[in-house]
Amino acid sequence: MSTIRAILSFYSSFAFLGFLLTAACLGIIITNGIVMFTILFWFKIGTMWLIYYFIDSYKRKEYYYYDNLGISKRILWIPGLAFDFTVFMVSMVVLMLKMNGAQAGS
Amino acid sequence: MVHKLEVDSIILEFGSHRVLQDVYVTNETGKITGILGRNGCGKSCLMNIIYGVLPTNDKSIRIDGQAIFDGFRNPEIFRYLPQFSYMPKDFRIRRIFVDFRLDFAQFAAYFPGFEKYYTMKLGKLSGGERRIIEVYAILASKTKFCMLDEPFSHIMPLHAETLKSILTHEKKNKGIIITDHMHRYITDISDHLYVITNGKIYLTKGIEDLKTLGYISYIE
Repeated sequence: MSTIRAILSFYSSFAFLGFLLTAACLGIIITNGIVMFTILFWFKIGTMWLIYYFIDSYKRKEYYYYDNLGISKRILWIPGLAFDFTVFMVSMVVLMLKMNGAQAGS
Repeated sequence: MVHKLEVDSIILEFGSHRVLQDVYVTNETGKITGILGRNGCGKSCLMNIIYGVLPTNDKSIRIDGQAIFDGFRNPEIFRYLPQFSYMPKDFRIRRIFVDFRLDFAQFAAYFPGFEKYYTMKLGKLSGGERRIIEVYAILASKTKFCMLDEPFSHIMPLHAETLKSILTHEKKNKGIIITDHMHRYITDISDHLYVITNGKIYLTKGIEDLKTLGYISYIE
């Protein structure tokens, strides 16, 4: 239970930024079309790496808190990043299916 | 049951500069091992090596004869207080005590002024108050060995005396390795006292050795 709470607390430090970037990507797809997907895919990967780089540096000292609870850096990062990327992919696929459906309908 | 920690053959080099060589330290349940040394002599590095977060090619760390490689992965064996503030400042005190499975009432009995902080965020406390909570979390939670790097930093003398009594109480359940520049606190409570100088570690027999080894200039 404390591990899940620790993961959620840690994820909350970059969740908003992750959602904001996903929302921006959705906006770009709506305005520019599905052709942008490949660029946005790599943009999302790149921003995830940047988030990892800066948060990892900013929270370096806090890892000792989690180490003392038996929660490793890997356990803290992987679920949050995986969830963020899943939200990105699912929302992209749903949006593109809707846009394809709308095009087929017209 | 008494558990024994043995640390030996530690060599640490940064480039061509050898910081630690052939370090040997022991500790066991019921004992406090103090480590003193000048700034930059390698005390914190030694603790980081024992904990497993600072890699080095040469080290041998054993608990009850069993080799340990990554102590930081198992809080049931090791807990470590770094010399800097390590707790997330947006966490509430209540949550920290739940995470470390500690009884806040017992803590408040030691530090009565802290009762009102139970629901507050850690970041609202002063540096010294934060340090007390950080030290207590490591010191009082269940483990075989704990290492405390400068636990008395930023703490006022009244609370430092309380911490000394908690250390003496907690050593019944665990082995404690401690380092701090408040050397009188360390010499008061330590069962074994080491001094690191010129990369080597020396087991001292008395306060006179601190002067001989160049850690203090005079004996009061």
